[in-house]
Amino acid sequence: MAKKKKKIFQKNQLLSLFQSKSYQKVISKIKQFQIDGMSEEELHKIRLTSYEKLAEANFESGDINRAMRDIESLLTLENSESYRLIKLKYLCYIEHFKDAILFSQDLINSKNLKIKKEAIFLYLLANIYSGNYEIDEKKLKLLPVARQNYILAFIEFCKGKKEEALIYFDKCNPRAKVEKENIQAIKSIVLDQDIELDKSLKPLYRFLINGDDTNLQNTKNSRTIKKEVISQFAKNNGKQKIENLIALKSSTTVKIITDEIKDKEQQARLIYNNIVLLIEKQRNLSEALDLFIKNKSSLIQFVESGFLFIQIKSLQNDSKSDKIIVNFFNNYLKLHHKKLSEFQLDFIFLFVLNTQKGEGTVKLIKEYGGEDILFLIRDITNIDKIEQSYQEIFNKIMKKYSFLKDTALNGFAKYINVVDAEYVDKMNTKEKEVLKVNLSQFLILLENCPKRHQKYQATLLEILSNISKLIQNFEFSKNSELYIQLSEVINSFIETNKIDKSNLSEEIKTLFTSIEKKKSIKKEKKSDNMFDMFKNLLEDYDDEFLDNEDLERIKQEFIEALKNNKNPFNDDLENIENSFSNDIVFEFMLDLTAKAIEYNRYNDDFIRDFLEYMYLTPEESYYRDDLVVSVKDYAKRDVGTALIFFYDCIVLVPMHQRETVWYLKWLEAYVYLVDDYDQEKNRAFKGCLHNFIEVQQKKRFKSLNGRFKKLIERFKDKGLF
Amino acid sequence: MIKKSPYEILGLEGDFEFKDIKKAYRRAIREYSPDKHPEEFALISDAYDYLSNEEYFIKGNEDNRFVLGVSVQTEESTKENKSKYLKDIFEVPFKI
Repeated sequence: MAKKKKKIFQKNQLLSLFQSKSYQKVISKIKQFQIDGMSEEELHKIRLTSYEKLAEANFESGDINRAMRDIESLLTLENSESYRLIKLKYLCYIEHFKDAILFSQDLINSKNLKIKKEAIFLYLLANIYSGNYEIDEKKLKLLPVARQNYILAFIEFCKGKKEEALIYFDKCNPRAKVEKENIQAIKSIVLDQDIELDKSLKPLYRFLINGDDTNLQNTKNSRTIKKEVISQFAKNNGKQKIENLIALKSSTTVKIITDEIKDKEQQARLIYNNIVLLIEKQRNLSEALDLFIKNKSSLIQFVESGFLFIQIKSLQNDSKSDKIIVNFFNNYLKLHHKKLSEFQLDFIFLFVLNTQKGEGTVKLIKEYGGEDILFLIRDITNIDKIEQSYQEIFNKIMKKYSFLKDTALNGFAKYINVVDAEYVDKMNTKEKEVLKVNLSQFLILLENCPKRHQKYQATLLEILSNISKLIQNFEFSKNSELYIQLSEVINSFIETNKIDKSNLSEEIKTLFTSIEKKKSIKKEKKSDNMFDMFKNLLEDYDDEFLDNEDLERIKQEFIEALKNNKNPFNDDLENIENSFSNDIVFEFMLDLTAKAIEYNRYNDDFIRDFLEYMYLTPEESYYRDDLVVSVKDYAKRDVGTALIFFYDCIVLVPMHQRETVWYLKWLEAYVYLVDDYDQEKNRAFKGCLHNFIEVQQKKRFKSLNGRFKKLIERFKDKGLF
Repeated sequence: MIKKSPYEILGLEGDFEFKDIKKAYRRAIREYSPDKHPEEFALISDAYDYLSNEEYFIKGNEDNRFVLGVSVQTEESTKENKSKYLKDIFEVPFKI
């Protein structure tokens, strides 16, 4: 059978491949084709050069095994000493030292001095790596001095004699700058010093100094070492961060703390200190709060944690975390209340009352003996009948001075001012009657108090002064008893406390004038801007959480406003988020979005305004997943509204959060929703689909790989990409 | 300002009660008298004031952040091990 004739490949095509350094292709073309117009000699030369260059390239890129294969091919073409020397070098790099020792014998006897010296150097090193530290002095003497010293240094180093090794490394002074730097790097590695790195440094030295593994030889041993060293770098990095945290220099991540420190209590202590550093050094209050909340169950073991929590909450305005306050302090006080002083407990009660006003708060405060604070903040404004318990509490408070209780009492003084400035004019007759009773009962309380601490004097006088002003809202002729009751209490007060009448406030002086002239003297009111914590506290006290009836009322008002072409957004919306779970909140918003669409009131700004008034940002982790669940649920009854609402939430996500896993999950949920319900694949749909694909291709989130494939599979035949 | 926990300065840990604070304070100042240990004494005095004086406590809670003592056994540095890898991977400083 006739031998099949090889196809022809043009010489210029081959040379073009050669010039473009496609050496692998050059070799395969030569194997497959007959090269037209090229002599055997030329072809041989090209094959040699190609194999040599290929070996070199593979060696440089760290693939020693391929380099070895190329050099073997080269040697079958031409068994020259220079190519064998290359093989010797590769044998050393793949750590076949015994083979290297054998293979080097011929080369050591070479007449080419340069090859001879290189071969001796590699032979001596291969001996050392094989564990043979006996030196062949004769051969050693044939090497340049720098290499002699290097060999000697390396023997000492392998014996574990670092100091002796360093002496030889010092003597080892090669001429080339790069070689000098390599020696310096070796010394630094031995001494565990940091040095400035140069790209020209050998890969191993770069790797051992800073973990840069570019071009590190790809042998099995180097892969193992690489893994170990890289994990060691990560470990050292973590250690450094822990050391900085312990030294209170800088904060770190909880992951590093838990990875590095196994003792649970020490972990918790470090997390606690980390939070303190986040506040004090980084001023990152939101992260500090987030960290505290996530680790509250371990931090609570420390008595200090209660006050740290209050500090963070006082610095960071975040209504979301308000929800955990009562629960946290319930558990905290169970553990620590015996360790705390009365004023520390009051401090906690005031904080809890200021943020959470529900029944849970009252129960908690009562459980730990905070009746005084409850009385001063809540009950003192509403006394309609003096009960023995009230008088006892008030007497107890007045007997012993407390700065915090004085501050709370001062809140009552401010409350009276606010009632005078803002509410009394709007009160109906019944409400005014209740107010008069409340004031009168407080005066009785004060009158019947046998002992008042001197330090409360200023606050009590301010309360009396403010009542004097408020009372002028009530006509003297019909309320003379209250005027007289107040004046008697004031007289008794100034007498007991030996107060100079001339120092009394204008309001009190006016009260006496009113009694004298038997008429009320009402001054024109100025707006009072003294809104502080206690005023807000008292003012907001009636703002209990909303119930279902409130929600229904707000919804109906919203719908009415939509119908009547009025602005449906108002401050009523802001309390909804705090009062209901996320699914109810989202359903409420979706229902009203549907109504806005029905009444033709929906526009591009609708959802943005709605969210703003609701104080709700769906991109926060607290809402992200629940939004998707709610939208999917709502789609079962009204997919159009669900998609509109969801898409607006998606486009409102700030740009910097659009390359995150959760955002891609939103996009994915949106496109599936459109497809599942056979909705139009419009621009919004395509935008979400393409955005998902682009970001995932760019970021390659491992957790989304499966979802990505599934999504591509589902839409690939639909002409969408 | 970052300060050490006042409880820890007074040596209070575990299930102590509020009344133990005063005892701990007395014990601490006996150990660290102001003439011999002025710095420690100042710290102890400051810690006690914070825990026993209402106004001092409120001001302290605004201005100070307290950190907890940490006793962490870190493993010995493994940096030195890096030099051993010189022996494991063949790479010479010279151009060959």
